[in-house]
Amino acid sequence: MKVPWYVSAVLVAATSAVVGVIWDISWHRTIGRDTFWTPAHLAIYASGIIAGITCGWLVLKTTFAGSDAERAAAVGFWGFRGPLGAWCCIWGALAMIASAPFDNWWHNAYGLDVKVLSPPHVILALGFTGIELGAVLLVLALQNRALAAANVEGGGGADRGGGYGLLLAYGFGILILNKAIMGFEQIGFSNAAHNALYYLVAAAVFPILLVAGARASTLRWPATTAAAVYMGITLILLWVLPLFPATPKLAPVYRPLTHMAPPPFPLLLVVPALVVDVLMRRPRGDWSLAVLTGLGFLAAFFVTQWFATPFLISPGSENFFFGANRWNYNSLPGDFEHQFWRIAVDPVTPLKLGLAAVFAFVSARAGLWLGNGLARVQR
Amino acid sequence: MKRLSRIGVLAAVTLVSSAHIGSPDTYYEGPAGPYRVRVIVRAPGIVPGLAQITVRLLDGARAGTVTVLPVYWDPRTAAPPPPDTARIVSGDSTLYDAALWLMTRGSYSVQVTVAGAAGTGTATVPVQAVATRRLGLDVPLAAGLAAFGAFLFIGAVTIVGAAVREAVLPPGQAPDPRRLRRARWAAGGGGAVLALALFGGRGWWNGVDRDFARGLYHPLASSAAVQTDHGQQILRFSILDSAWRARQLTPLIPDHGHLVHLFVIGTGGEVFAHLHPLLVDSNTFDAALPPLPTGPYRVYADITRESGFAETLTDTVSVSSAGGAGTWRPTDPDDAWTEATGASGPEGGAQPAHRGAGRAAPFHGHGARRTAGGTRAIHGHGGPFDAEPRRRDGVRAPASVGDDLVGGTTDVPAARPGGYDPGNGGAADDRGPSRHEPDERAHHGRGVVPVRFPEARPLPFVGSGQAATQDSHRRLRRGGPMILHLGLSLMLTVAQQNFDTVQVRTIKAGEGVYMLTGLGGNIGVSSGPDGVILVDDQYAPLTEKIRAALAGLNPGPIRFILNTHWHFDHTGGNENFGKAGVVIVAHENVRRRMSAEQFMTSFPNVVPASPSGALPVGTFTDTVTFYYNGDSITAFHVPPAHTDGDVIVWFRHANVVHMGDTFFNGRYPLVDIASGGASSGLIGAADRVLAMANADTKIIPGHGPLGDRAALQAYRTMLVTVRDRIKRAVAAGQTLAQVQAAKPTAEFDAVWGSGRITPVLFVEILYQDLSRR
Repeated sequence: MKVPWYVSAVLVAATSAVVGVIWDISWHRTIGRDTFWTPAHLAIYASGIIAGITCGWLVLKTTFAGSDAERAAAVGFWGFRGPLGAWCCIWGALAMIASAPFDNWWHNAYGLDVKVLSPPHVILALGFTGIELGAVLLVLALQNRALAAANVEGGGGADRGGGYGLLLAYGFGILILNKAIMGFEQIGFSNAAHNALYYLVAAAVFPILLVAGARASTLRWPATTAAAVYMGITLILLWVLPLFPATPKLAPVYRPLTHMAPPPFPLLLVVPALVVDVLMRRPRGDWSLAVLTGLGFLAAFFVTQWFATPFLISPGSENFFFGANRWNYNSLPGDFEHQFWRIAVDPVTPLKLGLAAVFAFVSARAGLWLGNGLARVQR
Repeated sequence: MKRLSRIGVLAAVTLVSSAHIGSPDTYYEGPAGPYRVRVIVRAPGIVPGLAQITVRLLDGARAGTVTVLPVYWDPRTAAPPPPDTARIVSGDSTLYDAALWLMTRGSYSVQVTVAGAAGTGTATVPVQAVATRRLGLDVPLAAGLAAFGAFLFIGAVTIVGAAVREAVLPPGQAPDPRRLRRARWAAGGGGAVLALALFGGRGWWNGVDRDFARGLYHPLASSAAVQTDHGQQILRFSILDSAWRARQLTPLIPDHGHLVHLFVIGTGGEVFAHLHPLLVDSNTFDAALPPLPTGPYRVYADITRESGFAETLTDTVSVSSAGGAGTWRPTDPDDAWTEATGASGPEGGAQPAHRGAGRAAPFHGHGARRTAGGTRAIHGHGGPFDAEPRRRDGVRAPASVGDDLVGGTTDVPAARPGGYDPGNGGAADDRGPSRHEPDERAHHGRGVVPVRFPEARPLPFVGSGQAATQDSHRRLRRGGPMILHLGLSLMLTVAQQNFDTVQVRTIKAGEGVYMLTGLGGNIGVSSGPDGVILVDDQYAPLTEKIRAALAGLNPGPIRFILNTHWHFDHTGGNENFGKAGVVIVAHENVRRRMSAEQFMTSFPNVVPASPSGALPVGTFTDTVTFYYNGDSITAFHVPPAHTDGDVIVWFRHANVVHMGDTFFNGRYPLVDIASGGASSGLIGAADRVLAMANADTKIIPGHGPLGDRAALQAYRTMLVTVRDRIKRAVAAGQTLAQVQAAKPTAEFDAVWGSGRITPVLFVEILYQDLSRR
């Protein structure tokens, strides 16, 4: 397996974005104050710069100095040629650049960040999602061409995909992490795990990625591996960030933090992903597979999160492994830390669970459709 | 001082614009230890936002470093953030600037610390964090973003088309016409989805903008007019604002004992009146107008809303016929007016003639302190006077007029040491001309009145917790019209209070039993060989002072604390004492209410749940008795009175009763209806204690001086009389305005009406209580 340098660069860019965002959220929760020039912001924007320059160069080279084979393995865009993934990366980089002045204006108009989700942040997120998707597409094109070549040459076996499966699972892991970050306010905290919204959001966003990744991959446990990548990166940051000393710089300070606040403990997504992987092996039609994987995901996710979170919000989980000192400097200490939130307002009801099941089915069906398309991408 | 200095700015603003005052910019000139500084804080206009602060060293002083630190008013904050070092402005060795981050709506005080050869000094400057402006998207930026957006849109559509057209084909294979057609459809479909998403995004943005605009500060629409009634000229001030009239806004609360302060200033600046109008209805206020010379006047109405927002509403009136001085019957004893005689003063300004009303010190005696402190804290726009208000030639700026008026007042009682207990209304022995001073006196040591404007008690922000904050605000804004202002007023005063200046005093009530006063509810103490039992513990920042006072009585341990009810001016020290191992005991309902967020209609604010360490660890529902220090100390629950968790504590052998807030000695009491209180319970509690007490019994009230049976009897008589009158009026179907107009408390006001519960409010509380079905 030969991984071209530009694929490595784009994967690094994709990683830089998600790590930067988690770092930035921690920064806001610990230090409070920021400028454009915080390392977290630099990590985010480095993603756009690395991916934009890499893929810009790739497109220029393919268009003007590419071999016939390179030009043939590319798609056209206004007279230029480049792999589909490169175009996604360039688009993402430009979207990130566009979001910067918009975000600056937004802060001036409506105040500094108090929310993860705001229109300029969504544009930024679309930008680095484009880069992450571009990374996945670049790997897919390599894998699928290798598969096609193997078939043409009558090959086969476990490594038909040229060993790109792990890279692909990594790319999907980053995409899952991206979704988990965007849903920080809805599914980030274990204290929300007894709300209906928590399951509705998870059912909508995760099956599509797990199923698409599983369908497009050659790995034996693709969804599980991608989920493990998501959990792994989150856990590493959960363990590493609190090693860095930091103190709040804005009043009011209700908690005198001394180190960076860790991200919340990740969702235990490997369990439902494992279920998805097992179900995906059964040969059946996509519609019934969508029902099976959607429901299987939701059932496994619900059981895992519902029963694991009472521990994750208990004082017993306030340690280095599960994340100590996890609350914002500006949150008044209180019993909410060890309680499930809004259970009176937004309880989990059979009706809401049913709705979540519908979401999971639609998401899984879309995932199969997307996965089928991704499995055919060769350029 | 706050008020007088504010007028100056108002007048200044009026000269530059006739618009309402809306800027929370702050100007301060005064000492920072050995230095004199001028501090200007330019508010960001948004929250969270970045304010710009400049610090100028006056009198040619030089400093080593200047640091600025925004401090949020909430005493529960764990620690201040590190201060920021201000940078010296290039080319001016006495000017420093820095950026200040105001993260939460409400009240900050900015500590400006100057360190240099002469030592280190700090000035405290009040800043309120409110959103006041809406930022437009200027054309170049909008055009740039639109162009970029269009480019991204077309780019995305093109990528979708390319993906379908070519990406799934083996390298080198050209798309057939069918695939080309599908690609066009896919691009069109992708474009449609994207357009839909953009449309949704636009709606989202508009929603954010709408919410933001709704949260902006708008001055209330108001008017002032002069009317004549039986030969007396009346100045009528009316709030016209539709939101106000629709009762969507929080009502007014008294500031310095008055709901409205009217400043009537001749347009030449030489005539000045300070009036305190009476409430006609919740929109209208009347004050008898002093015999001012004819001419146009500017009227500034200073009001403070329950949300903590202090604002000044302005209008112009014309006085056409001056009445004789003899005919003026001041509406309020604090009313006063003055007219400059035109003589030149030491600073080249007019010397005022004082014409007070019933008081010798017409302007609350701020002047003595101002002269001594020489400080100035001004809220409002910068105007012609923001830098050097005194140096204007010709007619004085009103700021200077007010300034000199009070500065020239010499018959003001000297500031006394000691704190101020808002619940005690400045303590019973502290009435008279200076009764409005204490909260400023408390700050005097700092050289400035830190005017603070808490928007609301802050709520925890954690994840979804934000929604709760917004809900609370909505609930706040739905508050009734004039309903019970005491609570917030009390809270505000606490917010404004510098706990450092509070003195905890010990008063002996009986053998081994003492009453401690400080800030908040009176504390009862049993002290003896077994140690100490406390009844209530005031506020957390006072814990050490309470300990110090107790150390003077008894070196033994504090073993138990009894809470008479859940209010934070009685339970604020629980957590500190609880941590130290003191066992806290209270009625079951106290723990229940402290465990959850409380919304208090009577204290119109949201009080977050107390931390678990502050909760009583022992609860009871009826009685509990401590056999301690040779006494038997019984706490017994009474039916809902002040709240639904009231207990009265009887020190049997010492013959002392602590009634908590079921008894306010010498002021009208509060019935916290939202906490389950009822006026009938107050009377019942009084009856119960009267049945136990003899002539020698000492009775510790929740607020007010130490009392006895006679005081309690008088309290009961007042309660029953007023209650019966209002009850009859309610039964007769009278409106609140009618009941208030009948003044059912009239003969009691002289004795009971000076507390934070004004007669008007007391009537409203009882009216609300007795109108309940």
